[in-house]
Amino acid sequence: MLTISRLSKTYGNGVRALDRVDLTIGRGLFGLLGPNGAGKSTLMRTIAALQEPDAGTIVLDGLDVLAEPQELRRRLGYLPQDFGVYPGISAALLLDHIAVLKGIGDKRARREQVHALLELTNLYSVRHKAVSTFSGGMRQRFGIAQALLGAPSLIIVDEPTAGLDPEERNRFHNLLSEIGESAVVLLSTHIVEDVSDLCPRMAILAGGRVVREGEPARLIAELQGKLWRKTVPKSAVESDCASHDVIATRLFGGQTQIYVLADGRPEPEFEPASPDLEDVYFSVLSSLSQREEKIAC
Amino acid sequence: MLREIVRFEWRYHSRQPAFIAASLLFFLLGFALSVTQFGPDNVAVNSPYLVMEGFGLLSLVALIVAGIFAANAVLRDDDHRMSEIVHTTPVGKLRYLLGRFGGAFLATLTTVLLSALGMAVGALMPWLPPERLAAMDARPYLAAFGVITLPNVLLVTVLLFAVAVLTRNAIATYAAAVVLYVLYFVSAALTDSPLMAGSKPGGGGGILPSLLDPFALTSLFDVTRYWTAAEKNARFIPFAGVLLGNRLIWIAAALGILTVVYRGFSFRMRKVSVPVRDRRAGSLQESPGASRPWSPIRPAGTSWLAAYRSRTELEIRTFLTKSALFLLLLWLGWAVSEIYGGILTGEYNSTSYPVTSLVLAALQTPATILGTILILYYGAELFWREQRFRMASIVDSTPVSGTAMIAAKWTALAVLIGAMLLGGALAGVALQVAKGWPDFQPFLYLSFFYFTGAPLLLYAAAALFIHALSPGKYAGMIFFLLFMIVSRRAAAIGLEHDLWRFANPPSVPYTELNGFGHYAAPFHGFMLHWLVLALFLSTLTSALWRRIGAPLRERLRLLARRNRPARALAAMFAVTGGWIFYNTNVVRDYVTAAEISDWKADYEKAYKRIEKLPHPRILAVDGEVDLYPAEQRYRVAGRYALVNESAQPIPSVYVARRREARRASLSIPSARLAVKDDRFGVARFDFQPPLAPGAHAQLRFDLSFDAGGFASGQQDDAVVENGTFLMNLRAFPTLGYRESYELSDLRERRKRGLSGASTAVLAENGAHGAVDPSTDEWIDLRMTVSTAGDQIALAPGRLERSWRRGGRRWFRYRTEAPILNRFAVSSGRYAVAKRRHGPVDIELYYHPPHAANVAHMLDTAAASLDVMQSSFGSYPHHQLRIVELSSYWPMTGYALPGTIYLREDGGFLTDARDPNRPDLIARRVAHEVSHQWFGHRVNAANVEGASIIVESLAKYSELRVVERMRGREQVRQLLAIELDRYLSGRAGATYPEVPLYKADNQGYLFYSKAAVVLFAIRDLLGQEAMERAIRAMMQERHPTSVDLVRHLQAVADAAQRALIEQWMKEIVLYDLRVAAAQAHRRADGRYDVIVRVEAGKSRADGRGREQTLAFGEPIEIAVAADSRVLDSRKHLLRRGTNEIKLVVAAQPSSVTVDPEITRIDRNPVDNGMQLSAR
Repeated sequence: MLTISRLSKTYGNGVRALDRVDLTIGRGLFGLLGPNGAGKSTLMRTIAALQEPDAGTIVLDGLDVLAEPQELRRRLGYLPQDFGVYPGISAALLLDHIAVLKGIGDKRARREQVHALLELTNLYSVRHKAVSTFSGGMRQRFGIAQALLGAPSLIIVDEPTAGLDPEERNRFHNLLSEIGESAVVLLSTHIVEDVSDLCPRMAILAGGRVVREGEPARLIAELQGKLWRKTVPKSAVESDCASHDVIATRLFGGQTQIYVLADGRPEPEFEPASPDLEDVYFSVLSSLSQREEKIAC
Repeated sequence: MLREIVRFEWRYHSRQPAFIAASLLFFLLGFALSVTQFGPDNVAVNSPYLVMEGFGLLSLVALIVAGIFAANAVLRDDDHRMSEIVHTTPVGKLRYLLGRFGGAFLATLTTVLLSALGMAVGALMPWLPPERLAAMDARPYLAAFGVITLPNVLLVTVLLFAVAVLTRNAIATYAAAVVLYVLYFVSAALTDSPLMAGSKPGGGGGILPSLLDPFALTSLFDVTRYWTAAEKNARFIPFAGVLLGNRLIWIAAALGILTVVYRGFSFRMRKVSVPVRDRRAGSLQESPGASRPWSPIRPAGTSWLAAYRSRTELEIRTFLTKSALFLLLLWLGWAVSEIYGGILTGEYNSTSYPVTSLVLAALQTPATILGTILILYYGAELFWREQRFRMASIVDSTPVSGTAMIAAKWTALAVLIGAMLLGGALAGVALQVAKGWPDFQPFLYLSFFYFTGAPLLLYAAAALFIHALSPGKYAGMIFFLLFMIVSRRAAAIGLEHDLWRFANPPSVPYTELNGFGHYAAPFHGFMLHWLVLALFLSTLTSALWRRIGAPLRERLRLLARRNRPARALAAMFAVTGGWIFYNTNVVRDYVTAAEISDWKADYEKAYKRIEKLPHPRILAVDGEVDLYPAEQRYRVAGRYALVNESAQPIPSVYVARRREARRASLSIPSARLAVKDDRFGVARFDFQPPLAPGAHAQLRFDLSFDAGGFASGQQDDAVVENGTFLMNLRAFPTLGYRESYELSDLRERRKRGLSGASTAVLAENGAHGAVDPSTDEWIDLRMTVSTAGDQIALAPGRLERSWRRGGRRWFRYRTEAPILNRFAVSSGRYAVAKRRHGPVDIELYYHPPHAANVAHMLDTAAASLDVMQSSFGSYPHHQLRIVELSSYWPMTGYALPGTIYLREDGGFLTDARDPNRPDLIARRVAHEVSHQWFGHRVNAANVEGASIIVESLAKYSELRVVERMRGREQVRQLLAIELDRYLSGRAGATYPEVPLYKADNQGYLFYSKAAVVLFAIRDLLGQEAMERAIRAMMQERHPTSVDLVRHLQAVADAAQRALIEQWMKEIVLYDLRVAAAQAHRRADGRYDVIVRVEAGKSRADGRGREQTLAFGEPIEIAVAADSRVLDSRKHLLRRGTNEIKLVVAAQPSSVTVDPEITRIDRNPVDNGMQLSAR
């Protein structure tokens, strides 16, 4: 159980990256959605004890993460959004090295797990090749393998499916959900599908704040009957945006569809649309940005 | 378009922290050059010469900056993964390269130019003495910029840029920078660059090193080698000759390299080799492994050691590159050339046996320099590796301890440094094997790792800490550089105490006699102290580890956090510091250089008045010296028999002793202690009643010396475990004023309100005032010396008795003829070689392994006695002892009555097997034996020019002995070296050159110029007449150099008198040159030789300003066929062109004017010409 309360962080340049974030995350996969700059990475890095917040607490299974970062690291698996590797070091060697750093002292156990993970991520046949020569997907799989070293009770994966082809992504999802049975898995992404596919619980982060939290199904259900869709010519998009509460525009077969949130049918041309998680996401974002400008248009 | 690209690059570089740090560095370096008054005292800091030298030096530092900018310009696309974007833009190859290069070049040039600003601003500082300043003028700066800085910066940027472009590898780029350094250091080692420590006079390099040096410093020094202060202040260095050649070669090289880069560069990505594909394309679960579920393993807990070991392996693995191997090979070459330069080509072109201690001494400085450069580059690469390869967040999120990471990085640097030292040691061993030297002394080689390696390891720890606080890699490199410069040069900003200099403890000289001796303990102490600090810094570095590159405020907050090990280490640091302070400042008196100068000035002010007071003369010394070499303590006791030789009663006497004595008792039974001044160790005794003329008295003394503790900086080397050398002035009391306490540095004297020179002015009529009694005190000496049981103790005179008691040895000596009151006591584990030569016992006391040259030394001593006795009178003693001295002492040889001291590296280690090399041993031994006459039989009046009587005549005698033993050709070789030493000596002299007869403490005059001039006078007058004149002079009591000139002129005709007058009392320079020479075969089979000689002569003033003189002197012209002289006669040469016709018997091959070097000629190379017959 990971409990985050009133976590705040303001950077030196005045950017408020986290603003009193409260989250409670149980075993299983937890999706963290948010646009770029929402504070996802800051939150992830803060939980991973890579940086410190200005205020707030993080507790993992009774462990005060901020006070005892070292203890957290023993229980942590972390796949950063953007990582590289030392040039010229083979996958097996590098994995073995990271395993040592993670504290797996026993040589045999370590080799066992390294091999298992290499097989799990299907890198076993290239284990003697330098990771720096891997293709993007292989490198990503290596990242997953290293995050699973040891026995992490908290696994943080930041944008893990970037660079994976659909098939790989699918399999990666299966792996994650398997892991989710025994650990807290925090999945940060801006790909809504990842969350809807995988996560029994989720939160949307924007402007450094948790703006919506819950089970994806319930969040979708809240929109049931309130989402309306209309196909419009390009020239009319702007005027519609001005007159309706447009949460998103999508291109469908070359034509623009606008999605509007309303309790009743706003205009006769609108047809009811069945909401999905993406609509939840957009509705949340658009309600946030309404004061400033209409992002959807 | 190109302009836009360069502008963009410029904006990029100039906003980097490294650029700002580098600009600051260069400004400060330039400023420091001016305000520390870099350069000789009589050359303005903003003179053309010093500005150019300063620019040259700074271009050595520019290399590091250029490496940073060039690497950054090329590699940043890869580092920041911009390559694809940049390389796919339609920017042309040429524009891209020129743009990138232009940016790096501009950035480097700008930072370097700030040093000119720093120099100029420094020159405006109000505390600079006005005599060190010339009128502000932009031209020296422009000239130096054009000739030195611009080409140097261009060259280094081009080269490093090229390597960066072609290899795409930062380490390879740095390796190229090291190559340039090594080229510089090798060319400096092959010549005798004035910037290198231990540069040897009389070396001379030739043209190759001047061309080889990419920074043109060597060529600069070559061109200005004989420039006097006046020339340095006024002349611009001519952009011609080797300097021009050097510049042309290297600019051509730079352009060539740019072409190669242009050809070799391609936008196609080099790094991307074919990516690995797995055979079962991209599947995660269909593989057999997927059937195995994820099985977590609970970590057994972090094993620090395992993490450290795995980490260290990984770090070292990344070193094992081609660049590192290449650097190692380069270092081997450099090491060998240093050993060659340091040992195998020594003073006077001599060569030494490659004993391990000399090999290591030659390696120490280059190893330290290279080690520092390695730490600078590899330390930065190592420290920032996680950031650079974007591994940081993965590594940081593991529970690995920061200390394991930092310890591993430090260990990797330590392995690198260890490999470098091992390489140096192997080069040394290889050279020893090649030279057939059997004794490798493995333990000494091991010590090299400790004494040279340990400070480097501490620098490495400091470098990691500096990077941990730095905003980025490149800025960190420059901060480290700044840190190294400041900590090495702390004394220049007043931080003299060794406690201020991080990991830069007092250096440990190794002497063959005394090993590391008493220098080792302070070194251990300081190293422990700095080790604690390094550990302290490392704990902080470890604490910062996970916040590399975070905002400084956050990192500082982290440092302020509770850190128990850091606190404990800080406390320990205080303890070790306190312990050192206790030893250096409480047990010992710590005095700064300024305090010593103050003390000396105050002594002179307080006691100069007693100099002229009459005081009793010492008739006899009856002394007792107890040496405890292992504990470095000693006791001196005894009696002086005093007599009043003056005509008046003497009311009181001042007795001086070294104030460092732990216990001191002084008494005169017939006098009362009236004043005791402990600051200067002076006591006044009032005789009761006053000592009547002719009356006797006795001074009793008992002094104990036991310094304890250790000193910061210079240690006391007099009484040491093996090889004690204790001069009487150090231990025995003296009467009256101690002139040796006087401050000799003119600048320091002026600062303290003392008049100019302390030496009495030489009166032109040769008259001298009061004679310093100590130079005229002939005494009888009895001395009992006790020392350790395994040592031999020596004192002047005949050994009357020796015995053992209480595990110690005792020796009693007694002189048989009066000696000047200058003597020494020495003691060591010596082997003894003896030879009886007439009535004289020649005894050689030497370090047992140093037996190689024993016979030659005895031969020389015997030959010297023969030459000297037949020319200058009999030898008064029955012993002539030669005693080996440890290399602590600054003088290579020292003569005391009946005993001469030779330093271990001043002949004992010389390899004298090659008969074509100058005989250094004969020179040294003969010189010191000659002092038994010049210095100990005839003693000069204590005025300017005294060195002419003592040193110049000894030099003359030395060459006479060498001539007798080895022939004229050896003398000619030595004179050529002396001529060079004179000319470069006058060029580098701080104070205006004086005419020879006023030489005071200028070795380039009283040794080098005197050797040439006195041999020229012998050539003029003939040996018999000349030595008759010298003998006549020796009859005078306290002759001066004026007396010498008078006696020489007395045996000369008018023309000779005029020449002697000019050579001794003026500064004259000749210019002789064979302009053309032809030989024609005659009908009778002989040859007509026609020689055109250009001749000229000028007079210089003390600052080097010259004025042409009339010239008409007979000068020898030799015609030779190979080594056989066909004709050698004097011809009257006049100013301008002289044509001389000769007839010789055989076909000549060369013509030489003044072959025996009797004239001071700045360009002796053109004095000869090869010719072929037609």
